[in-house]
Amino acid sequence: MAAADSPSAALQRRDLCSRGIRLAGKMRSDVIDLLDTYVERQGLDASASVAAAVEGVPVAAAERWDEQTGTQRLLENLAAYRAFRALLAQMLEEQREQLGEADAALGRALAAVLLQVSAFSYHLEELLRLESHGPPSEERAACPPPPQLSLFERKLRGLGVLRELAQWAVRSARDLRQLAKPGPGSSSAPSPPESP
Amino acid sequence: LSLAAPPKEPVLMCRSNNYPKGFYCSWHLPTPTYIPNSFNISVIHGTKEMVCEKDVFPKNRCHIRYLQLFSTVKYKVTLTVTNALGKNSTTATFDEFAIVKPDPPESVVAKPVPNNPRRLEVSWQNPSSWPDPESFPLKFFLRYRPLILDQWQHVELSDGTSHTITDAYAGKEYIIQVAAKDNDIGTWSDWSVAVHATPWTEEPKHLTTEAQVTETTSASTSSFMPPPTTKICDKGAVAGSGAMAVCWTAGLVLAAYGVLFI
Repeated sequence: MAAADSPSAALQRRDLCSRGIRLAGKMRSDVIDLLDTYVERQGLDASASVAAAVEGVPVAAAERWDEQTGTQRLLENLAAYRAFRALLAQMLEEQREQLGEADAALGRALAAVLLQVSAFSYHLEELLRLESHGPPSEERAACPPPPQLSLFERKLRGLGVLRELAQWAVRSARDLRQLAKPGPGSSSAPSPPESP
Repeated sequence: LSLAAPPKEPVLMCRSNNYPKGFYCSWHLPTPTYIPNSFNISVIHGTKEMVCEKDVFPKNRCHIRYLQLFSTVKYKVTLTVTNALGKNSTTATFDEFAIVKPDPPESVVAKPVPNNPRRLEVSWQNPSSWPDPESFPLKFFLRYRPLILDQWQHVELSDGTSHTITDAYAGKEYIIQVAAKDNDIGTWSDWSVAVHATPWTEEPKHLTTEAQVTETTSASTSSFMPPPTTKICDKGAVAGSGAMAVCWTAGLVLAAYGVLFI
């Protein structure tokens, strides 16, 4: 494996970041379409307020985002998308139980986004390998048992999952652009933020 | 004599033209009160109250720094205006992404391309207020039309700050504008200042050239040039080519000759 700072590693990183940015852009576009479908099929109000921190849903909001190192960005992204993979799989199962074949379109859309989330997770693992860190092992038991929620609460939770995933897709593109910037190795701390 | 009045509901607008640094809110009253008013603004994000630093000028604006990015929690901004006769207020609630609107692109330049009568080269710069175009790249929307037509042509450009128009009408003056948007979020900027340009045209051969040659060979002291039958055509204010566009009616055979007058 090339050293993380070698020219070939830098080229590989830039290439992986470019592809990752495109993946994130496509994923975001599909999640936004899925959000519209989900809201409509589940009979929800698009402006419905969901609790700020839905249990188990990774929150995209970041303080001091510009101060993160490349490795921190990759690790946080990977943890988030692994969690989304489990959450979407759960949503898909619930949707099939609830609606069965009556709403194949929603099921297909959920499955398509789940596939993209899985692909993006894999992409992040590749980037981490390039950084010579290697991805952390996935804790299969990390996903807690689904909370006992009413049907309406499950629908709202699903809305929260998709909204947060849409935010993450934007954040991931930004993170990868930061990572793709030429300069010292991605693991080094960035320079202090500029004052406004 | 104007009667003093309590304030009507103020008009409040919030926008981020320097994402991801922060956003600003500005306000005004729809009708004057004719007495002094004071304005108080509060900004809440989730459970946190944020500080909106008032500008010295203009007085009806303040700035907020983002403490978090990529949040799904909405911002709630409440503006209260008070005077001796009463008070009124308004509230705006919005997402972080929804208010992102860059300033228009700057330094738009349009030039003809030598030896290409249907091309115009357009270039511009990112708005200087956009703090980090490398990490938060902008995409652009270019519109152009000949002055003689009302319909715009549009081109969306996902990267770069230049574009070559390749389908311009030869010899026609164009008006060109550019707008900007963050690549991922928010809305398009207003249109940039308009620039004008005309594609390159070939310089016509000068009418007196052959007459001068004939004059020289026949030792004439004067020359007679039949008046050309010209059609007044669209003003060709060619930027940079130095040529004047001249139109001739079809079928006119131009024969330059000298007539001797003794």
